[in-house]
Amino acid sequence: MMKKNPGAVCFDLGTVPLIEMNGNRRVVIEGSTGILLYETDNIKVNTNRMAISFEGRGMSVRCISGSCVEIEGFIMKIEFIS
Amino acid sequence: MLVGIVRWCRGSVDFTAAGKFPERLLNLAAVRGIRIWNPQPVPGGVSGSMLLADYRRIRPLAKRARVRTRVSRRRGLPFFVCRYQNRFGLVVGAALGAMLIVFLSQFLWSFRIVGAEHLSQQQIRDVLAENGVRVGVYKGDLDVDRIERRLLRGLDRITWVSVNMMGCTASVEVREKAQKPEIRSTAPCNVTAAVDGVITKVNVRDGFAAVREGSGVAAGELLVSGFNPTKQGGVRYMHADADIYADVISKRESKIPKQLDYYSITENKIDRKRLKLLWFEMPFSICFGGFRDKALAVREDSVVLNGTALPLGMRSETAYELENRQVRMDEETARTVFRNQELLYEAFARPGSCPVSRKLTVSADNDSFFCTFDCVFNENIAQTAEFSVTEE
Repeated sequence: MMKKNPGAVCFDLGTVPLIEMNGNRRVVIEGSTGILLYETDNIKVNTNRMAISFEGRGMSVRCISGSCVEIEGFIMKIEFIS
Repeated sequence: MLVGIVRWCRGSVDFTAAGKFPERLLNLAAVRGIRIWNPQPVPGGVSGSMLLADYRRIRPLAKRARVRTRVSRRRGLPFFVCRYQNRFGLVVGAALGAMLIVFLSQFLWSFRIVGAEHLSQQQIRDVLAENGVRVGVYKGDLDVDRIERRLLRGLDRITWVSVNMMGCTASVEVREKAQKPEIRSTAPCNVTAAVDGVITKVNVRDGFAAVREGSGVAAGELLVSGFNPTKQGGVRYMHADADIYADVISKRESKIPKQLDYYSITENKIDRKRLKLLWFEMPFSICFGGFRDKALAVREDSVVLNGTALPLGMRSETAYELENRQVRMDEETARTVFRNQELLYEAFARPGSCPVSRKLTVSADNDSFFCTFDCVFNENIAQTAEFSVTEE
């Protein structure tokens, strides 16, 4: 029977959000659970593990579905809030 | 574009949700599969667009998100129909129009003939009409293969034909036969005289002349020989070729009656126009009367849209009055007529001849004038006469 290595760092990739960015103009967040704040200069997206805050200007949600959010605009700052 | 058409057909609304938690409305809608496009933050809420059917579903969600939704713009077919639902005639007219288009699409309304260079399009149209292919015929009755076979049988000068039905247009594509090349024979032959005459010029290209200028020859007489005797005592056969010009006597007679009926076009004419629409024709101009004797000129024009002739056009008929006159001819007039007849004869019956002398003798009896044409033409009388060569 194999024993677990207590020193190994384990990531649960099934629950962390997958963030895909095209420069600082477009970002796709897979694994979101909803939008917490929606303003043109700040959008906060909730995920299972944390909330992600996007700050910038002229930002808008291009597409929203049950687990995916696509944001478009001039992104200047990303903050992970846990 | 397709998405836009679907959205227009299903109907969509632009809305504004204002209240405590407008983001929650977006989340709840996304979880329930309600698609909101173009969501924009507005002061105190969000705005966006959604399908009309979805807008009815988000009312409980708006209550949970504590927002109040307000429609800012409606667009799409359901609203269009709703706007005109009291105008029953419009709906009926649109339905009838659609049915009319479907019904008329079942008929043939125009032809397009491609590839006819030497063959006239009217000839092809005539053969098509003989086989039942004409404007206004039901497309279901047309057997394209049979029409193609009959076109090939009816028109000798085409080697391939294809009839394609494209909507309400029949595209008839023909390929004409290649012209047969003129093959110059090289078989051994002599040159003989086609008619009696007196030789004026001898131009021999191949062979040995048997006559010289000033010789009198009878029809069939040898002019240029294709036999070439060799020094060894044998004979070499060749294809004799020559132009032999001779003065040929031509004698003809003609007769015209002294009194004849003569029809001439007067200045009186009547124009009639008829409007053609689908299978029907109706008068388009008002004119009364007619002529007892008339010559008719007919012209048909169709409205052409984007290269396709539509089943709408105008048929113009012009009737010219013909006047019947009994003309009594005197001898001078008869002489002029005979003279013109002779000129036409020279131009069309003897196009390669040069008239040397011309004598017209006009005589008359009680009813008619007679003319005897005594003419001499200088023309090429050479004709080839092939002979067979058999070695023994």
